[in-house]
Amino acid sequence: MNKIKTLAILFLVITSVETWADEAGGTHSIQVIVSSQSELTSLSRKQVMSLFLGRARSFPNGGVAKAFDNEIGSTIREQFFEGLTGKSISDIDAYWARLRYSGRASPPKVLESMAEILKEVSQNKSAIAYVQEQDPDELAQKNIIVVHAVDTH
Amino acid sequence: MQFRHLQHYVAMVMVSSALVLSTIFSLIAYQINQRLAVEESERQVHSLMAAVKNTASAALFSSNQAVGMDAINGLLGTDVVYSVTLEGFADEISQGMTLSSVNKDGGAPLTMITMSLESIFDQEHILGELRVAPNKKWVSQRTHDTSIPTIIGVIVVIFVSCFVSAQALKIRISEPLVKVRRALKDIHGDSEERLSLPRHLQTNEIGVLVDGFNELLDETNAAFTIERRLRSQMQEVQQSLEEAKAVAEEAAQAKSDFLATMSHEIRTPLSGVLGMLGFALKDPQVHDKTRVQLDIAKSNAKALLTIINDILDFSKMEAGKLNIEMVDFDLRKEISSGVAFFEDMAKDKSLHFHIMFDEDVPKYVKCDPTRIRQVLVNLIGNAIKFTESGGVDVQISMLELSKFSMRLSFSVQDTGIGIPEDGVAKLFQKFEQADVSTTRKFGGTGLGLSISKQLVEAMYGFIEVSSTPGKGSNFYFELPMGRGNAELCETKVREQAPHTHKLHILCAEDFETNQVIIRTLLENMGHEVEIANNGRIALDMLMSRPFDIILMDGRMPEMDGLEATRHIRSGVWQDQTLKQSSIKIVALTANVTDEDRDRFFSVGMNNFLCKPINETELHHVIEDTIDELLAQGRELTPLIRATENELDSLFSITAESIQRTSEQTDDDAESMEEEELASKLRITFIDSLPKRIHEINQAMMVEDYQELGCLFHGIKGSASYLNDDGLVNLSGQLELWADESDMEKIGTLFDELIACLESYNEARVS
Repeated sequence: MNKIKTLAILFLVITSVETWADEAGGTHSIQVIVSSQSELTSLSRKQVMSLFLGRARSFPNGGVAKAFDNEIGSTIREQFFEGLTGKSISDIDAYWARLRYSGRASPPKVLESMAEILKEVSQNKSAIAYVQEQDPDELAQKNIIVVHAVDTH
Repeated sequence: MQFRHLQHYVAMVMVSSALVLSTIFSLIAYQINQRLAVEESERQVHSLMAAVKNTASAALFSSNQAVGMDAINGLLGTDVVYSVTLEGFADEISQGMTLSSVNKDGGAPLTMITMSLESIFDQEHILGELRVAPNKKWVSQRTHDTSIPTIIGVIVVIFVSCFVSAQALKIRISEPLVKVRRALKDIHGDSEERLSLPRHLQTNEIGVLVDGFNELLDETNAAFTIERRLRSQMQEVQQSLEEAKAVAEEAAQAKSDFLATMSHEIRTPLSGVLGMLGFALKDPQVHDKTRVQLDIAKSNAKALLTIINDILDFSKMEAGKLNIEMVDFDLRKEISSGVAFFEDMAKDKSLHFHIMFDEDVPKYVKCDPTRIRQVLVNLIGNAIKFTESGGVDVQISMLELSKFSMRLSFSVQDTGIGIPEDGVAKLFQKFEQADVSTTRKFGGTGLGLSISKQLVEAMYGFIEVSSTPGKGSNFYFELPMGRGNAELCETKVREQAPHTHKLHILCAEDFETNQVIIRTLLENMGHEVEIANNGRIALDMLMSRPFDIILMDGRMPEMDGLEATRHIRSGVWQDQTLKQSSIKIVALTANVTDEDRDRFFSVGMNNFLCKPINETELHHVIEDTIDELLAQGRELTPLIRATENELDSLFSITAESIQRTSEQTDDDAESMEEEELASKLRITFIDSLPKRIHEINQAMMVEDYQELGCLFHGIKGSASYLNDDGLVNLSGQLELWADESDMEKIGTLFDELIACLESYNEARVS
């Protein structure tokens, strides 16, 4: 089990380095994805923000929504929230900290990898998450659609 | 309120202004502090709201009530917040919510402060608002806390400045004024001092006041000076007035004295004239024609005597020395006999003259008979004088009668010339008659009515007159009187019965003449007499043998009568008991004023006799003494009663002479007896003259006034027995001056006296 774990971390590091190398080359965007079963076509920035910051717990069409987050401290998370809200990640964290202080806050559940995120979104029609820009066809195969894109610099 | 001191007033004003100022400033300070507190509360609320803004915003963003409550409770955790409301607006995503809570410690809300809450992630998106009311309680507390030191500070500052101002006022104004006030107390109207002020007060109102006061002082000073001058002038005037008064009084006194002396001087020779006329009339060898002439001369002399007596009375009245007696007497008898001689006068003028007593007029009354008679004589005399036909009626009536007193009226009505109306008023004034022509026609001094009026008034009565010119006058007077005692009236007229018992009499008298007179008088009465030359000898004699009575001259050499009497009454003489200390002592004196009388009685004398000694009085005194001694049970040698004839022969009175002198007055009879005695005495007196002249000359040489007094007194006494009134007056005057030790005055009359004495001596020789 330990061996598997070590291998997984190693894989992650390698892929991360690869991603970083890719992004350094030009403008990328982070894509907000949901299950195609959610019957959504697109979401506004405000709607995306409400869903990821705990304001809204359902999609505009009334379907239950459940946001998933990337790992705390990950580059994509910083880029996503900064791009989405215009605030630094520490502000976002402070926001959550404030809410958590009362003990009843429910920040999005963190999934450890993109594969897990994709898997979750493809299987769960309530799920909403964000990933690095993907090939739309590939996503379509996995029953995932992009409803919003956040530019990163 | 009133203050004694300006300082207190200033202090009061200062304290009240301090109180008012403190109150105002405290209120202002409180207001300011309150506003500051409100601002502070708002400021604090603002900052608190800013602090929870993100949390509240997050709570609204995520519609998280718990977080919202957290934020609210956070705000309410401070005292400054009273209530908090957190409202989230509904929008397409959130349904909105409202959270509200109030401070559990209470208080009251102030103006709500509202803050709108925008989304953390989107400034444009207003999520709701936070409304907070600051707590009034906190503001009050805050105001209170900040105000106390402020107010204390304000009060302290105000009071300190007021105190400082008061002190300044005190030092600069009040104290100089107090000094002025003290100075004012010391300055009186007469003082030269002026008030002064410190320089800083000289130019203001106080300075003006003080200047004014100083000017006032100047004026009062001037007034005082004037007053002093006036006062001294007044004193001068008063003094000169007093001097003038003294001069006037002296002049009046001199006038009275002059009148008294003159009348006395005139009376003395006049009584000589009367006496001589009396003797001449007694002479059976006088021709009838001459007798008529002598009678006229005598009545003229009597008229003159009356006038002189009037003048004497008048001068006595002027000097206030007129005495009114109160004696019991028979009114009818006194008046009838007193005015009887007018009947002859009336008869001579062919006038009728009646005296009528009303029946109810009592027989005996108590008053002054001499003075009543004098008044009536005056009025009747006038009435007869001024009446040519008709007559004069005298009516005496009773007006009131009570148990002890009565009131009588006397009316003298004539049918004479009357008095004009304007004359009536002046009638009773001195020296006034109805008119000058009256004086010319009828003569008279004009004193009579004035004296009558004064006498009546002195007896507490009044006199008035009514008259019709040409028809007659009525003089009317009323007098109050006492009821008379019949017994006293009867005993007054004493018979001169011969003495029943023989007395052993001691006579202290220094002058031979007097010795002879008294010895003769007493021996004639049948008594045994021993003579002592002075008081000392009298005392020695009294020690050696018993006497029944002492006749004591007042003035004697070595020891006078008063001193001798004092020794006798003390019962001791030269350290030995004097047994006869209660013996009767009768003073012999030439001067009988009231003062003399008091002096005699005060040393213990029992009675007094006036010189020249009246035989009748001497007789009565001795008779009384016999009665007293007998009453005391003394055994006295009885005297053989002499017959009337024997007595007559003793006084050389013949039956013929009695008949002839029956019409004469008592005075004449007395002067005749005296004349006989005098001739006996004359020889004794002349014999003693060389010795006396020698003694007088000696005393003059050594200026021994006491001796001179005694010598002159002796001559005066002798001279009065010799009826030599000139010598009496001369020696009397010299005695007076000797008493005054005035040698200069004695010198003026001394030669005259010696000449007079020498003339006696020569008369004997011739």
